[in-house]
Order: sequence, then structure tokens, then C-alpha cells
Amino acid sequence: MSKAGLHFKKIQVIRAPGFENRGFTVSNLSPGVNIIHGPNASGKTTLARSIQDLLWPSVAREQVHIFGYFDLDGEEWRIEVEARSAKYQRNGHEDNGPILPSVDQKERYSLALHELLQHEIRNQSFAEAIQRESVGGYDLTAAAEELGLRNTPSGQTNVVKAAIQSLGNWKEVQGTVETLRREEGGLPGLRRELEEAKHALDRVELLNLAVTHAKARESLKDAQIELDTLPKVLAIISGIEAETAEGLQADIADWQGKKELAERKQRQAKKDIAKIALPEDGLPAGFLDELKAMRDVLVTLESTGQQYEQTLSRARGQRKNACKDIGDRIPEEKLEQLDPVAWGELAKFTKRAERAHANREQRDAVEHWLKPDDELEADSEALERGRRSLEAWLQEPPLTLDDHRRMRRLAVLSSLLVAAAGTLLGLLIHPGFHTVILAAGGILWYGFWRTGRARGDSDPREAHRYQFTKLDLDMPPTWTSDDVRERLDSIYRDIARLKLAEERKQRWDTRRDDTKELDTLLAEVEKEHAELQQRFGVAPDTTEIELFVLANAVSRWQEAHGNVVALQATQATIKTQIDNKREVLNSKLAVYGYDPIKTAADATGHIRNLDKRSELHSTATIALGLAEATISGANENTEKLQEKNDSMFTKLGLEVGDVARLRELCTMRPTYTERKQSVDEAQGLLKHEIRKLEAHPDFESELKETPVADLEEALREEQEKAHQYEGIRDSIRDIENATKHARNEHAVEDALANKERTLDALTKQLEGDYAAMVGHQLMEHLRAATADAGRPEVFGRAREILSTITRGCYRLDLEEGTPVTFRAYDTIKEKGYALDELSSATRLQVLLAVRIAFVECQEQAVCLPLLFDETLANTDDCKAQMIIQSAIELARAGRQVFYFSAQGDEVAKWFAALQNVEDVDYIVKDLAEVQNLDGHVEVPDLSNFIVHTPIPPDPNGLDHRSYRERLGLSPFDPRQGIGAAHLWYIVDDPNLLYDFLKLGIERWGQLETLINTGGNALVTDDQKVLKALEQNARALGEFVRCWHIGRGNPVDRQALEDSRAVSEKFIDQMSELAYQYDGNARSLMQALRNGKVPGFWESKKDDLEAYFEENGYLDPVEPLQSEEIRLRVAGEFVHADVAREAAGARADALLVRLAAC
Amino acid sequence: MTARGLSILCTGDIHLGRHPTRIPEDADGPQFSPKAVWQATIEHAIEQEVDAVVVTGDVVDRENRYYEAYGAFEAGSRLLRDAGIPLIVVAGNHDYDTLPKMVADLRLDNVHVLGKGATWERYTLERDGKAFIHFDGWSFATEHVHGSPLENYDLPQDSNVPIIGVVHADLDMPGSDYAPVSRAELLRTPAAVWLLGHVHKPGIHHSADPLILCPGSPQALNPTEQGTHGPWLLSIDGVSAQPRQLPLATVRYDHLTVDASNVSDPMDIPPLISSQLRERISTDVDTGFLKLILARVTLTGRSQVHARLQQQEEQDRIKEDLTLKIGTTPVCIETLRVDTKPDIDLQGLASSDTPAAWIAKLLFALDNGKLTDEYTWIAQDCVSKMQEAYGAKTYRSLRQEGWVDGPDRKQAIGELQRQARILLDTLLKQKERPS
Repeated sequence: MSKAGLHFKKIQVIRAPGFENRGFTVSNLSPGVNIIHGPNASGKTTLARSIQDLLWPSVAREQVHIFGYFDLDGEEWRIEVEARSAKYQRNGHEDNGPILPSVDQKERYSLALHELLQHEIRNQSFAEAIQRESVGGYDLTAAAEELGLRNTPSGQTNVVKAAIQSLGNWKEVQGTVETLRREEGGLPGLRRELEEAKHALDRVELLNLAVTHAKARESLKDAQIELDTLPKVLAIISGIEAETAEGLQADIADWQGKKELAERKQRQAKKDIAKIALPEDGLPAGFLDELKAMRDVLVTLESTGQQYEQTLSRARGQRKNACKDIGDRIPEEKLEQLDPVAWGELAKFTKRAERAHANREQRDAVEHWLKPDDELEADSEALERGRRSLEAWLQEPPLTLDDHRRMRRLAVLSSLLVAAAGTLLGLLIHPGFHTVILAAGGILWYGFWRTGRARGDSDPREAHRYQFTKLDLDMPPTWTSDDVRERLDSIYRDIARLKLAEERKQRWDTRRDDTKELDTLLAEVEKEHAELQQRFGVAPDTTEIELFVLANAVSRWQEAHGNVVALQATQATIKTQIDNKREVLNSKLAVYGYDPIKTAADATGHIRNLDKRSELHSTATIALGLAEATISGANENTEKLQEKNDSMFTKLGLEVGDVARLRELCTMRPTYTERKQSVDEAQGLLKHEIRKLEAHPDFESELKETPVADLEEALREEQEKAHQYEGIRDSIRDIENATKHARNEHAVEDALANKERTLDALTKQLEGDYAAMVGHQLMEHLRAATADAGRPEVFGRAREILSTITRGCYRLDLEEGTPVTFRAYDTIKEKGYALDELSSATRLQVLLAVRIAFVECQEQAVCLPLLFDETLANTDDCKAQMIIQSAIELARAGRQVFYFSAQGDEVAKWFAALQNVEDVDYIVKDLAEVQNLDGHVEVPDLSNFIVHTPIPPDPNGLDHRSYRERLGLSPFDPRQGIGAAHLWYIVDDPNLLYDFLKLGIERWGQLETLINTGGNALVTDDQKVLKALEQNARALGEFVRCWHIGRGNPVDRQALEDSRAVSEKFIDQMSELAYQYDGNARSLMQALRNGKVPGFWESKKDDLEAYFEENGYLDPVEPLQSEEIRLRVAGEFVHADVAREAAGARADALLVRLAAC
Repeated sequence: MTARGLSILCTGDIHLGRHPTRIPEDADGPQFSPKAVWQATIEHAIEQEVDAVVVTGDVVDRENRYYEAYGAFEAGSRLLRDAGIPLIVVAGNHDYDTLPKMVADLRLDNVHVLGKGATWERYTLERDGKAFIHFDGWSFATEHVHGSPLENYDLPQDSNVPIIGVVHADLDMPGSDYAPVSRAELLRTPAAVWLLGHVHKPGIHHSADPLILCPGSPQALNPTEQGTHGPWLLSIDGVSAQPRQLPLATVRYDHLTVDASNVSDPMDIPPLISSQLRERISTDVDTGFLKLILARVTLTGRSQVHARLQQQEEQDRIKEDLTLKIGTTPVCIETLRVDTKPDIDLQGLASSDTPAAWIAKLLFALDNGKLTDEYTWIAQDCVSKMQEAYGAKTYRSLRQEGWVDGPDRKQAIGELQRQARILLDTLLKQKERPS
């Protein structure tokens, strides 16, 4: 720093807000770092504000009264500020004061953490200012936009899709043609196969016959072998021989038993015959039946005789009873002569006479009821007239209404009575009486009519009374209405009776004709009665009933008498017949020793006995015959059976009687039969198959002898060929059609043309990408080369400060664009970050660097103190370290630094940081002590604080290789880039490396940044050394580039997930696999293709590979061979001005270092 | 046989089944297929009543795998048979396997494949029962043949009968994989005429004794096959042979360099190209059978509109604005290559300390091949970037097909130069704009 530094030595606060009554003085301030601590209200802020008031008194606080003592450019200054008025003394003399930055820069010297982090806009304005000053009149961004520069190739445009599609189409048609070519090439073979298949078809038929024949032949052979295992004799055994032999023996025994029994029966029969004592031949045929018939006749005759006796007895009784009924009116002797017909007529007459008398009695009863009544001789005309007069009288006034009503009731009553009488008469006597009901109706009408008239005349009654009196009728007792009415009622009754009498009279007249007819009949009966009395001689007073009884009795007697006579004659005849029959029977029975019979019962007993004797004789005779026949048959059958038995054994070649052997043979017979049948069937089948086989046109005689297995094998082969016949034929046809079709097509030509067209278009796109990306690369280099050239000093200074305070870890960049912003480039990771992407500590460093750079660059000639007011408050250790280190670096550059804090641990951090710093002066002021306050900030023991700056191991004479081991370096990872390369790979001298490490410079990125930003002072200014370092770095950089060729980005879990080709099921396994292959996408894909992950689909593998290719994980270029890398590294050394003869050795040395990892 | 003597129609490298490239899709059609030109060739042979038709190999394009060639070849062969014209063919590297097979399948007695199995074979055309001319032919038996077929050329000489040699061979390309032969070898043979295949560009390589003729492909297949294409009619009178090209090709590729130094407005470019194209084609080209002319135009010179011409939009507009027909044949720009340079004094510009000066210095160094370390780094970065683009999945199709090679340092430096010029021009234009 060339500017003069303003360093306060002492500040005396006489009065200030919060310190109106007591001031304080801080003296012996350090020109380097001043750590001012104290509890709240101890004056830290007051002191900081006082410094600002001393520097810019025109804007000082009104209340303050302060003194300041400082050195500036070797001169001692004193300033007093009170009421915004400043008084200066330089070296003890009044002065106008030094030239200091304007008051608007005042805040830039106050660095409070919260302000730094919050004033983004201000930081941005810094960036914009820098950018404006550095563009040099050219708008590179606009140019890049105008030219469409890009850093990445085009994506999947329509051109790409068209190319892919056309390629696919091309491959498809190409494949089709290739397939067709192959198929066509196979046509001769197919045709041969077709011929073979056709021949096979014919052979199959022949071989089928041959196989069948051979099987039949084998079957016959097998059957014959099985049959031959049995005894030959079985051929003539039916299987029942043993049973037959046993049966024969049983039959012989049976016959012998029968013979013995028959002999016993023979003897018994002979004995019985002798005992019966009948002739040898028994009774004559039909003798017993003859006897029985005669006996039956006798029985019938005896029975008939008995029946006639009984009938005769009943007839005699009937005759006797009839005689009793006749009594003595007719002697019994005459009865036999009486005419039976005449007595029948008499009985009929009696019945007719009796009916006539009954009719007469009925007529008499009716006539008694209809006989006219002589008392009703009244004049009906008079009664009618009287009725009318009375009715008229009653109808005339002065009859009252009540009378009138009574008249009406009277009329009604009268009419009802008349009607009832008519009805009764009609029912009881004659229906004609019902006409009386009409009269009742007339009475009723009249009654009503009269009542109506009576009310109409003035006095008509008298006339009517008069008329009545003229009649020969009884007068009413009085001519009052009631009496007249009563009289009228009686007249009504008389009229009714009169009418009834007239009706009975009419009926009586009618019945008189019927009576006459009945009287005639009675007369005739009387007459006929008389004649009969005389005819039969009965008494005259004999009634018809008596005549009837007598006639009946005579008839019965005559009938019974006839019966008696007839029965007696018949009875005599029967007796004669009985006697005759008895005689005959006795003569026949006497021959067999029987006594004469008396009755039919005796005959029955003799016959029954004779029948029994005959039956016994017959039975014994039969038994004798049967026994003799049985004996004879038994002898004959026994002989035949024995002969048959012997013959059977002899025929089978067996010893007679060897039934056991015979049984054994019979047991074998079914098997024999079965096997024999099998042989027969097999023979038949074989003959049939031979005929079929020999009839085949392709018959070969050896086929008849070929074993089945051989034939079947041949058949299988031929069948396989034959089965293919249709398929081959169709294939040939299809191929021929396809070929014919293809020859007239132009699909391949079109596809080829389209492929070329689309690939041309894609090439054009690639050329566009080349242009855009090369242009972009050019633009990047242009930016890098020129961006900083035109930057104002402030930017360079800010970059330098940042490089310094971060030990080269970060480089300050400007992000062009709208708005222009600061960026920090991580030199180790070789990656730029926007401020909001940085950790707050790094961000703070960036902002601090920019702020300080501005302060410095805008200071005209004086370097003013920087005030850190509790900047570490609430910050983490890392951030605090950064700030402290930054402040120390500033102090080292000659700027006075004040740090105000109320935190003991912050003070401790300062102590820890400054402990190892030798070239920076510092003091620590406790304001509590300065002011004698009770409270103190407790500063922790330094031993409790970790020293963050690593202390590298001292090489102590170790060679380069050995020092690496002491450092314990990790293997070099080209993926990390050259920026992250440890300096061991670049710095050959262990001691120089140690110096870098002590400064906290470990990586090439740091060192490169420091070198480029002018931080050489931190390292070395030996250009030879720096040149050597740069050469090694360039070679290492070339190695890294070579290494990356063909490798692509490392695949990790995130990449696998981002590909969307790996499901959760496989992600763990795939991640592990990627780890095993060190993220090498090519190796990973190879492993996948080799089935390292079972179940992972081929389509997913394709997707994954496409993703790797598209996103730079899979480089299509093959990795370089080690020799190629060596050559390139050596070439890079040459390009870096290493002598060609030394470049190889340098390259080898570098590669050995890398390989040693 | 005509009264004029012997006439032979010869062609080669028909590549049936391939299609000319770079034809705009909306203008493309079967008329540009080599099949169409083959058909026209056959018709012409019949019409001219030639004595024979000779094809110098690569009848079938290997990419098409033969089928689509088969139909066209068969149709032409039958027409020739019907006209009594023999067809003499040799197999080339594309159809070493398919042509003999195809001919064998056709079983046409007028079609003769000479030299099957990489041997020399003779077909003699007779007239009045006497040998009139010999055709000595040799065919590829494999795709690659590293030695000269002429080393085994041992067919008997016949001083009374002229010989026409037919072979598919790479002329004067020693070390070629495709039967390299030298002119000297051919000159040492007794043949009166050598008809060579493989080289698509038609041309007479030796005018007489022997006549060495590369008939070339009858149809131009890509922009590298510029000029007139079509079969050749060879008239032989005794031992003298007179070749004449029949421009039956339907498409023509051409290249035109246009100086744009004096152009101040890109709008003036299309008329400039149009006039120069018209002038050139009208005077040099027989457009009788042409149905399309595809011109590759390169703009050169120091141009004030260099930067604008570099813009794709501007180039597309120029192509669109060029509506040219010569006769009835439309002319299209196949590729417009802008190879102009900005009209800038690089040395003068480089003296300052601005971005433009930095680019000027870079361009100066690139143009003069003096790359400093810094520029070497830049070039290397450009190579990396181009390799990145080349290796992107987007261009997998190109890589798989081997359509383009991976970028190298030279290409990267070329692209860097181009981009530097564009960028410089763009930046300088910023200065010209009112602020």
C-alpha cells in the first residue's frame, strides 16, 4: 500500500451521548489490530462513533466533545471535535487538518456484519459500477446472444428425430431385405427339404405298415413262446376233465346206492302182494268203478225213496189242513169230485164285490158334506137391496168424519171377510169359490163410494132408511150409524153364507151322476152273489168274504190230494229198483269174500275195502317193477361210467385215477386257452399285415425282417421330415412371392435416400452446433482475456483481497448480465458460484473484499482505520475465522483495524488468531478496566480454542516421495480437476511445498489464483520457480484432460435416479455396482449387459445407456492408452517451453507421481 | 449392326437401388432414380440399334442388397434381348456377389458376365460368322481387391480382331482396395479400348491406342459427382474408337464460387448467384434430359456483410430467394457455403486493447499459423467442445453411420477462425450502431 496510514494512538471522550457526565480515554492504541471489548454500555459504540466523528467532524454528533491523537505519514496529529467543530494540530501546530475521504464514504469504513449481509443492493451497485467501467465499449453478451452461441449441443430436435426415424426405417427395410436374402439363399435347401419331405411322406406310409407288420410279427413270436411254456396235452384238455372224472366217480357210487335200495324195495313188494291176496294182475279193469256206479245208483234210489216219503207226508198234512178249513160245509168225499175251475171264478167274484162295497162307502161320506142347507132359504135379492140401502144410508151425511172413517173401515173389514170366505171355500170345496174374492172387492169399492156420497148430500139418509124398511129384512136396533153398520155387517155375512150354499148346491148336483153308476155296479154284484150261493150250495147268508175263504180251501185240498196220490205211486217204483241193485252187488262182492249187503252203506264199505286192497296190490306191483328196473339200470350205468372214466384218463396219457394231475392240467387250461387265442389272433393279424405291406408299391422284402426299433426310428425320422412338408412349401411360396415383390419395389431406395437426406440435415445441425459451441468457447476465452483488462482498480484490488484472505481458494468474478453481480470462483473445485450459492462465511469474505477494495481505491491519499463493530456476533467459528483473518491481512497491509465486541469468546478468537501472527501488531483494550467498571467481559482461556490453521509436517530433509507419505495424501483423483490437485504433484521442492502449506495453500487452484491475482508476495517472486510450477500444472492439466477422454462423468446414485431408468427395486443394487466400478458408466453398462443385475430389463438398460450418453456419463470415444497420454503430457511440457529432450523425463516423472497414488 | 460400323453403348456404376442425395424432398421423385436413367439408356441403345451394351460394374448398389436392382436390370436385359443386343457386364466391388447371381437367375442368353471369380474372360461378337470384336472382362470376386487385375491378364492376342477391355478398377490409385490399375499397365495391353468402372466421374483418360474411358455413373449420385453424367456411345471403326457422352442423367450437381466482396446488402446475393449460375450452365451444360440442377455455391471475398451472411436465417433466405430455371430445368442451391471474410484491417485493429483487438490478434495468429500458448489452449478447448457436440446423443445416428468423422484440431481451428471472424464482425458492428 502506497498510501499513508492514519493510525489513532489515543482517543479521549470528554462527552458523548451516554457519557455526558463521565468521559473515558483509550490510549496506546495499536497501529495494527485493536480489540476493544467491554460489557454493554461500556463505550464500545461510543468509541467507534467517536472515531468517525473525529474523521468526519462535519457530520459529527452535536453533543460530542472528543479528542483524537493519530499518526499520519510520520506526523503526529491532534484533533478536537466539539459541536461539529474541529480543531487540528499537526506536530503541535494548528492546522487545517489532513485531506481525508469525503463524508459520503464514511459508512464504508464501518463494517458491521448485519450491514454487510443485508445490503445486497449496494453490493450489486458495486458490481454494476465495475462492469460499466470494464466493458470497453463492447457488449459481449449482446454479441453472444446475437450469434446464438451455446455451450451445449442441440437437444432432440425434429431433425434428430427425423434422422432417427429414417435410420430406423432404413434398418427395418434393410433388415427385411437381408432376411429376404437369407431366405432366398436358403431356397435351394428348402426345395431339397421339400423333396425330402415329400419322399418322407411316402416313406411314412410304408414304414407305418412295416412297423405294424413288425409289431404283429413280434406279437406272434411272443405269444408262441408263452404258449410253448405249457404242456402239450393241454391242447386236448377242455378244462372240465377233472370235474368230469369226479362226477363219474360220484355217479358210479350213486348208482350203486340206488341199486341196493331197489333190491330192498323189491323184497318188500313181493311180500305185500302176497298179503293182499288178489289175483296177480289185480282186479279187472273197471271193476271197482262198476261197483261204485252200482252202489251210487243204490244210494240214489234209497235217498229218492226217503225224499218221496217226506213229500208224501207233507202232502197229506196239507190235505188235512184244507179239509179243516172247509169244515163240514162240504164232505171230504165230494171234495175229490169238485171242479177246481169253478171255484177259481168264485174267488174272483168275491174280490170285485168287495171293491164295489168300498166305493159305496166313500160316496156316502162326500154326499154327507155336500148335502144342501135348508135353513139358508133367505132372499138373496132382498139382502142385496138391504145392503145397498144401508150402505147408502151410511154414506149420506150427517155422518161425521169419524163415521165416514168407520164406514170405510167397515167396508174394508167386510170385504176382507168376504175374501177370506172365498179363499177358504176355494181351498176346501171347490176353486170356483175364489170368485167370492171379487165380491169382496166390490164391497170394498162400494163402502168407499158410499162414504164419499154421504158427505155430498144434505140429508139423504131418510130415503135409504125408508127403502130398507120396505124389505123383508130385520131392522137395525136403532138408526144410528153404529147399529146400521152392525146390521150391514150381518147382511154382509148373510150374503156370504148365501153364496156358499149356492156353491155346495152346484157341487151336489154334479155328484149325482157318479152315484148312479156306483149303484148299478152294486146291483150287479148282488145279483151275481145270489147266483153263486145257489151254485155252490152254500147258505144264502154267506157273505162274499166267506165265499172267498171256502173257495180257497177247496182248491188247496184238491191240490194236496193230487200230490198224495202221485207220490205214493212213485214210492213203490223206487223200492223195486233198490232191491234189484242190491242183488247184483252181492253177487259181485261175494267173489272177493264179502258178506251180502243190506243197504248202500254196506256196499260202500265193501267197495272201499276192495279198492284199498286193489290200490295196495297195485302199489306193491309198481314198486316191484321200479326196483327191478332200478337194479337193472344201475348195473348198466355203472358199467358205462366206469368205462368212460377209464377212457378219459387213457386218452390224456394219464394213469387211470390220477385225478390230482388231471386237476392240475385243468387248472392250466384257461391260461393255455388264452395263450392259444393270442397266438391265433397274432397269426391272423400278421397275415393281414403281410398282405398290406406287400401290397404297397414301395415294398421292400427286407422290411419284413427289419426289427421294430429300427423301423420306428426310421419312421420318426421320416415323420419329422414329412411334418415339415406344408411349412416348407408355404415358406418357399412366401419367399418367392416376397422376392418377386421386392424386385418391383423401391422402398429400400427411398429409405436410403431419406436416410441420407436426414443425416445431411443432422450433419448441418451438427455443424451449427460446432459453430455455436466453438463460438461460445471463443467468447469464454474472450471474456476471460479481456474482462479483467478493462476492470477498474477496485475490481483487481477486491480480487486480490479475496484471494489473499481465502488463501487463493476463491477468485472474484463478475457475472455479466442484468443485473451484473459478483461471483466467487472456487479454484479448487474449479466452479463459479453466485453469492447466494455461497456459504455465509465465504459470502462475507467476498463482500468484505469488495467493500475494502472500494474503500482502498477511493481513498485518495490516506488510509483510514476500519471499524469492525461486533462483526463476529452470532457467527460461527468458521465465519469468525474468515473475518479475523481478513482483518489481520488488512492490518498487515498497514491499515489500522478496530474490533469492538462485548463477547469474551470473540476476544478469545482474536487472541487465538493473532497468537501466531508475528508481523501484525495488536492490542486488547478492556473498556471496563479503562472506566473502572464493575462488569468485565470474561475471555475464555486460549487453550479451549482450536487453532483452525493446520500446521503441516516439516519435511526435515525428506525427499519429495517420502514427504508425500508424511503428508498422508489421498490418491490423485482426476475427476476433481487440476484445481483440486495437491501441490505435492506440482511443487518439486519439499521445502517450498512446506512453505506453501504453512500459508494454508494446499491446492493448485489456490496457488494459481494467488499467482494470477498478484499474490506472489505470499509465495515467491522467483519467476523460474513460478514457471516450473506453471509447467507442471499445465502438464497435469493435460493429463486430466486426457484422462477424461472416453470416461464421461462418474455415475452415482443421483445420476441413476435422475435417469428414471432405475426403479426403487434396483436403485440400491445399481448404486453399489456404480460404486464398485468407480462411477465408470462404460463398465457399469458392460456389467449390466452381462446380467450382473438379474431382472433388470433390456429396455431399461437401453434407456439408461441413452441417458448416460446424453448427459455426459458415457463418452462415445474410447479412453486413451497410457502411451498416448504420456505423449500428450510430454507435448504439453513442450508447449510450456520445456526443452523437447527434457519433456519426456518431466512427463514420466509426473506420471510416476500420479501412478504412485 | 449399323452401316456406320460397330457402335457400343457403355456405362458403369449405375448403382441401381441408390438414390441421388441432396435433392429437396419436395422436388424428389422416381425420375431421379438411377433406374430411370438405366431405362433411358436401354431405350437409347435400342433406338440407336447399338451392337452391344457394356456395363463396367457396380450395376447393383450394395446398400440396397440387390432386389430393387433386380427388377430394373431384368427389364432392361429383356428389352435388349428382344432387340437382339448383347449385354456385357463385369462385377464391381458393390455387386461382386449379386450381379453374377442375378444374371444366372435371369438365364438370358444375351447377358454375359465376364471374368467371374476374378479371372479374365472373353466374349466375342461375331459378324457374318466371324469374330468381329473381343470383349475381355474381369470381375470382382470379393469386395476388396488389392492387386491389379491386369497382372493376370493373359488372354490370347488376336491382331485381326480389336479388343475392348472391360474392368471395374481404380485408375491410378495405387494401394487402393478396389483393384488398382495404372494407366501404364493399360497402355501395355493389346486392347484398343479400355472401359473402366469404379470412378463415378466420367472422363477420357487416354484418347487413343488404347482409348481409356471411364464412363462414370450414368446418374450423378451426390454433390461430389459434378458435371455431365450419362452413358457413352462408342463408335468403332477398325481400331479407332470415338466416344461420345449421352447426357441422359436427370440430375446435375454443380459448384459455383461467387465473389461477394462488393456486396453491401445480403439481398443482393441471390441475383448475383442467379446470374452467374445462368451464365455458367447456359453455356456449358446440355439440359436436354436434366430435371434438376443442384448447385453448391460458395461465397468468398472480404465482405461488409460477412457476419450477416453467416447467419443461418440469412442463408436460408438467400436460398429461398433464388428461383432460377434454365430452360425448363429448375436450379436449386444444394449448399450455400459462406467463406467470406470481414473487411477488417486485423493488424490495425490488433494494436488496441479491446475485445475486438484480442480477436484480431487471434485471427492474425490463426491465419498465419502462429499459435501462442493461449491460442493453443483455445484451439484445444474448441476441439473439446466440438468433440462434445460430436459425442452428444443427438448425433449418435451420425456416429453410428460413420456419416461424419470426429472433429480434429485442424477442423476446430478452421471453425475457430470462422467464428472469430463472425464475432469480430459482430462486435465491430456494435461500434457502428448509435448508442
